[in-house]
Amino acid sequence: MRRVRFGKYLAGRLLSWFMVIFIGITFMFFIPRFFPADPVEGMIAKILSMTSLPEDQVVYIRESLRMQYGLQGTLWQQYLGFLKGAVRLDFGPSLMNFPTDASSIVMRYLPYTVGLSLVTTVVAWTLGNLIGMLAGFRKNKKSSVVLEYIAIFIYPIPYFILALVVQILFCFVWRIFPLTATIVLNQGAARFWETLLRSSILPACTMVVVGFGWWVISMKAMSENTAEEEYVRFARLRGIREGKIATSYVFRNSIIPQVSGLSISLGGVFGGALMTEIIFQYPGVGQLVQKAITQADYNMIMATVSISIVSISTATLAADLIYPLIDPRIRFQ
Amino acid sequence: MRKMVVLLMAVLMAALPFIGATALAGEMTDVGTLRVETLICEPDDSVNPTPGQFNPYMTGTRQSWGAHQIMWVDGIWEVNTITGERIPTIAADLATPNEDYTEWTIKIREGLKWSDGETLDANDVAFTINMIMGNDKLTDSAYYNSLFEKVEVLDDLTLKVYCDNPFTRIMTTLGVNTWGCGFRVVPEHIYSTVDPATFPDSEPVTAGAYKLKDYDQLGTWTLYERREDWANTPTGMLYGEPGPKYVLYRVFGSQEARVMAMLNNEVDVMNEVAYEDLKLLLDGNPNVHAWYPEFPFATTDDACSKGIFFNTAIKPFDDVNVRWALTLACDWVEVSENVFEGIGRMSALQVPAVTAMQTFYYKPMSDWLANEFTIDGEYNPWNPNFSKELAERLTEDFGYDMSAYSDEELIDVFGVGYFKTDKEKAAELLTNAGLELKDGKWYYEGQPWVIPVIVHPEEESTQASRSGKAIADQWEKFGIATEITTIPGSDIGNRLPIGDFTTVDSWDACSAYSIDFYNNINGWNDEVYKFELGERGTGIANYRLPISNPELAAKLGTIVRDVAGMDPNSEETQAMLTEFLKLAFEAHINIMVHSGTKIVPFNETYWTGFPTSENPYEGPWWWWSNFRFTLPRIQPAQ
Repeated sequence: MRRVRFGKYLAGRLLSWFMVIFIGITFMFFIPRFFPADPVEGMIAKILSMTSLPEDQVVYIRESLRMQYGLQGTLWQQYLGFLKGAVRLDFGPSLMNFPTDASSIVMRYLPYTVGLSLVTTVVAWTLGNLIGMLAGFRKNKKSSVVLEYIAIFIYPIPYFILALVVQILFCFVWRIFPLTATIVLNQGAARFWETLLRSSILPACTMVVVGFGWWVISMKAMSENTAEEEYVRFARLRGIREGKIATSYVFRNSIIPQVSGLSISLGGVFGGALMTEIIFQYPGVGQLVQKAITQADYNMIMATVSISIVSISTATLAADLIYPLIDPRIRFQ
Repeated sequence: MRKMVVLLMAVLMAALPFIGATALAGEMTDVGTLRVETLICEPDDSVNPTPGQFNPYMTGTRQSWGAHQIMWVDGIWEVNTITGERIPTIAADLATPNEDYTEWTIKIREGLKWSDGETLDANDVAFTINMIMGNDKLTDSAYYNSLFEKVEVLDDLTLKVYCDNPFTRIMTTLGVNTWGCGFRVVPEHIYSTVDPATFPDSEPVTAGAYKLKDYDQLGTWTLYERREDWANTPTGMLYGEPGPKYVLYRVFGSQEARVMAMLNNEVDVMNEVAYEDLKLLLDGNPNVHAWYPEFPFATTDDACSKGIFFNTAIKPFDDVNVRWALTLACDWVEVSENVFEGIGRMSALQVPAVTAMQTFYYKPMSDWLANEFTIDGEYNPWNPNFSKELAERLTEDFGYDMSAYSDEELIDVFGVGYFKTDKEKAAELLTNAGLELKDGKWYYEGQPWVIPVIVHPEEESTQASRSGKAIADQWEKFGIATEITTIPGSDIGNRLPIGDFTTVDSWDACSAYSIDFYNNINGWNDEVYKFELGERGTGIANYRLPISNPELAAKLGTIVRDVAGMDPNSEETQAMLTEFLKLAFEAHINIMVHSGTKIVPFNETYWTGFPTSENPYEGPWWWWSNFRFTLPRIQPAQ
């Protein structure tokens, strides 16, 4: 009976996962088409910003680019072609990097984006929740107050200010880290990991510092409230150890909404960390998306955003499937 | 926010002398070359998403990563951007036409080699032209087919190009005029075996003095090495051995990181910086300089003026007197100060006031501008003393000491003059055009007059964007409301051809460095341009916009057609183009403020010999193709 119920639950979630992806990427196909920008005019503007050309040459270039970019055919025909390609992760050539495939460019940068964002999100979440839990559960201790103040102080600092200050201090004044990320790929594994680590420490630290403040504040509020619940008082009266109360009663109940937050954050790691990429020149898809939007590179927009849509909906699906494991109430429903 | 960041950096810069920034002889670059052997440049681009693609005929190939500057050879003629001299590179001499310009004979330089040791000769040049004409997937294919009938190799060092019709501009089509040239000779022995539309050319065989050494697969740097046989390249034959053994192109990210990189001596040449950043660099690193050692620092020889142009298809901007009123309503000294604190050469004509154009047109036309031109039969809008007035105000407002400059030098720095500021006349012209002034605000057809102003984002063109905003600010002060909208160039490019704008910032007036600027004005041919609001036509939008005086438009069109068939370097052409500039000035479809003003910082900690105002052997356009000729003059500083 329980298996049948779980099967229904799983089927419902899978159907909604599929529909979200389908509707999302359909929107992503049509929305850029309504952008006022035009990739052909974008490329011509780029050429003319470098050199002036006779008017008749510009006319010929415009015609040639329209043909090369494959922007002919009705919108419906283009949409069907897009769906067929999307199944194979083939979004066509990036118009601004013609004729290189948009997917191959995204796949080159995606591991760095995912690696950096995944690690920093998980570290910030873990650290933030642990500190928040301590600050909330032991709210009258001095150390809890200090930790809370640190989080409250850090949380509102705009990321780019923090990143810039860190960059000025560690890369310019003390010169401990490179100003711009340099990851060497063609000199062996040891050199790759060394340069990756060296280039990633500052971007990662700044992302963790800015990211963990919210987790501290939210977890502190929740654990503080949970600690006041009657079942916690009852547990104390029963003589259960404080450590056991903290972990099994307060933490377990407070962490549930945090897991939701984590799953949404994890879905977002595919979108890129634009400010980090710009300030530290860290490789990633954030700048690809930004450039693609301003230059109306339809295929690149579709490649990056479709991956993001799939990952966010998959992360949400994963959270939905994990919930019953950590929250018995959902399991029984 | 930007001011806050600059302030933050300024405080840290103050600590720099205590930190110490010294060049070490044994220091390595992060790509494994000796720093003292490596010239580090910043590309005129962001991260390169196609790092292993070096085929010059693919539109997605990133050219500004050193490829077109030092690895390929752009065109077969280069240009000196200071003197305007056309320099044969792959060609041995200037091309020779037959009587009616339908055949051109081109001699190729003897002794040229490709980077793999093969001989570069007339066969490669002819092959490249034929390759472009024969492959409609190459962007310039249709254009070349419209010009050329065929190419014939007469011998290994001579070829003849046959044109469908008389064509006088073969050297501007197959040669460099400003930034570079889309025509790049490719090795026949490689490209004849591949499809040039899809061949990435990741191990390029090239004609320049440098060859590809290595590149970052994530697109943040590209490294070139001087060829051992540099003597067999055009650069080597013309100017000798290039100084740096390696040239590294790499991106530095944010504006702040770029400044810190130069302060740290991590970069020798940077693309372009804002004036406030240059001040930080000059304060923080004694080895940094720009074109001028002191104010005004920047070079003003970039060949496109920046300013604003009107949509003359919509009312009341179709009335030339309204456009003149909007010009006279501005305090131009204040505009100049608001763009780059007064740096920039005023550039009112339809060509930019670069040094060559000052010589060929601005100075010879000064008398006409000051004494002959009128806008309504009697009023002259020209202020010949503008440079002096600007210098005085700069001393008052910013404390720059301009007393050492003679009148002639001030003209070289700030231009031969500019539009007057005459608010009374502006009000008179607007009133005559039917506008009303009530309570200090201007009304058009009974409604408050609001002028929409589109500007580019500053990161796309600081100068154009600031010029647009500075002019809008003046209109506001005159009682005209404005609505400024910042839009990316790709969107602006989409709006212009259909006339979906009222006013827009622009680099509308461009030229090359010779007397001939036909290529930049051939869109003014009134038999070609057609304009209907809301419909996409052909050609460059602003040139197709109607000039309200059809007689004037016809005269301009006639000149363009006549010049097309004339020897581009003749005195007759210069006289005709002077006449064109006078008529275009009368049409007044735009307000250009400064010629292209570029603040290009050089760092002499490791390398010296960069071009400057005191040693102007070339323009400081290191991101242009003429940079190949700068490299032999650059030598180690230590």
